[in-house]
Amino acid sequence: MSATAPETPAAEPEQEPAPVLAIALYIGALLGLYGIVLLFYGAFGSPDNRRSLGHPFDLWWGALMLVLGLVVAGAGAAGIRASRQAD
Amino acid sequence: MISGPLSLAVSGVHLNVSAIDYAIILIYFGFVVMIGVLLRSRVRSAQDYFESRRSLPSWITGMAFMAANLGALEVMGMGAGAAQYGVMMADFYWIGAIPAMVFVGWVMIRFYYRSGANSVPGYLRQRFNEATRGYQAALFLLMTLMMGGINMYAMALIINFLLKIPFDVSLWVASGITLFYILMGGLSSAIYNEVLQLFMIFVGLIPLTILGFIGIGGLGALQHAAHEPAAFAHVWKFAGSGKNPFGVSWIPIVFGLGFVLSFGYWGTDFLVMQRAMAARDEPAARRTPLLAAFPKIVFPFLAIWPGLAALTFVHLSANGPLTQSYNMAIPYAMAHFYPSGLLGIGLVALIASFMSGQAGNVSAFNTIWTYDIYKSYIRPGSSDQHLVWMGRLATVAGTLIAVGTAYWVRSFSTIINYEQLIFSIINAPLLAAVLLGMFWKRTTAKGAFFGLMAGNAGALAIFFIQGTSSKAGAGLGDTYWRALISWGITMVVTIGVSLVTRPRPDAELENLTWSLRTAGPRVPASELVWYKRPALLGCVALAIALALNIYYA
Repeated sequence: MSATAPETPAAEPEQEPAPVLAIALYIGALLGLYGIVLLFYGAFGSPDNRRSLGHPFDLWWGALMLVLGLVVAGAGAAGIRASRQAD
Repeated sequence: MISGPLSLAVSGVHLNVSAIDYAIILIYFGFVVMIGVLLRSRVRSAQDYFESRRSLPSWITGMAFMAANLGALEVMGMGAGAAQYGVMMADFYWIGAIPAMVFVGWVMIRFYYRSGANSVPGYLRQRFNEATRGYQAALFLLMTLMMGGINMYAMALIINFLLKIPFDVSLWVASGITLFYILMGGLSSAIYNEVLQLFMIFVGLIPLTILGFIGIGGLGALQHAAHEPAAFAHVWKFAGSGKNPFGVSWIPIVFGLGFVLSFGYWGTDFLVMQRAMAARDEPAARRTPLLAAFPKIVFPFLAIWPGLAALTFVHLSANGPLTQSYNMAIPYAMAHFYPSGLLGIGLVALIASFMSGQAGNVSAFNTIWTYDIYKSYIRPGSSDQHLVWMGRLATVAGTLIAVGTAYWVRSFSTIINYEQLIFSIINAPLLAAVLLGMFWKRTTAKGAFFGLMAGNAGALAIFFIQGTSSKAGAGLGDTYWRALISWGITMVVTIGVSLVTRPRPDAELENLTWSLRTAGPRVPASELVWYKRPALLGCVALAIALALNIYYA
């Protein structure tokens, strides 16, 4: 906080690495959940595909969000595992 | 019009929100609140609450840096600008942001970060003096509250309009949720949520870009589809003279927007800088704006295509009620192109942008208030716990004042355009003082203080002169010139006063100014991999921006 602060070793080892990386799990979960909701709604609901110029965008985008969610959550989980091993 | 029944008086837009869309929005609110609750237990000290204990990796701070910038005004304003000015709106990104972000990452961040200050005004105190800090902290608080109010007004209006929830309920619920998660987890909570919000903004807008592009049939078909002049499809071709949608030539665009306004915003605005300063070490702090530059480069596509596509099915104008103004381009495009389900995702993207902008304002406000005003002038020597308590109180107070401002803003239909006005009055002079402070060690505290005063006063004076004489539509050009002139005034006055006042001894300025910088802490080997190098990241960002400028010239 004071001008002398930078003198102390700033890069203190992170005591709680997990919460930093856990955000990726939450984001992945939210994206994945949305993906599933859109997929189901696109398949069994009644989206008005005339709006999206005739393309089943709920289905397409739902599938994409599900994949993205899995990738983000997977990256987060891999990061947590790596940081645990580093300790 | 605002709180009345919203059966969409605008012809061409037929909105149909169904239960699934509401469900998607509720899920989002649930996640946002949960992040705040989960982070609450981690707040044990003032440093946790206001600075995230300087613990975050650069990919998180980089995304938060980007998201805090992508508030309501940015997302909707960009779409509005595209509908009003065409592709030229990309100037705000490819010339008006990327060079500044790269410069901030390469050069400016290290001084802020290494000074150990908690805020931009905190740096001003170390480099100059207490008076300069107090003065700028007060101005920043004022600006933040105004921007927060405008942001919230826009949010409530859109929710009101699209979800048919009354204006007051939208305003209080949406600001209440943001308030809640910042109250709980402080800056960490704001930043983690911003990462989530950035994902949602992109996920919710990309389909709209695709549909807008298909709907128009490409840039070549734009003229035919939207009956717009040829200048709408070019960024630079018509910038040789003022005969383009902006109505100004390349000189104010490059120097006013590209230099003063953008370097001023990215280099001195604590709203974004706070994210970089929360990074866990100096290399991560420097990488923050460089990583944020990449989504920033892409963003014009997400806003321009929907904005232009809106022109093909609805008539919008610069004046008149908000429901018929350019500001509605993106919401209308969503209503037009998105089927139920996807519409929910799109609405979440809009709500996320409002919330990230609001969270940025509130978390910057509570830090500046608590550190730069309260702890410095009102109760020095406060305990750590007391500061956290004060920060939470400031969070509540700041939100309430912003809500009040939102009601006040409601009486002006054009105030949404005032974002750049505020920047040109406050950030442009501050940029001059900070640049001189960082690069000319002879700059004195008195020089900076009086230079800033003169710059702020000059900008205000120019605004009133322009306001009485300028014709309609000259808004952007006026702003660019005002920014450039007020920057110049601060430059000249600061240099003049510095030359006749006594500079501080070198020993006091170490690492606060360019010529007295030290090598800095040893960079760990893990920071030396090629994809983490600031030089490479910055050059790639600049090269992409340059290529896009040429391609869309």
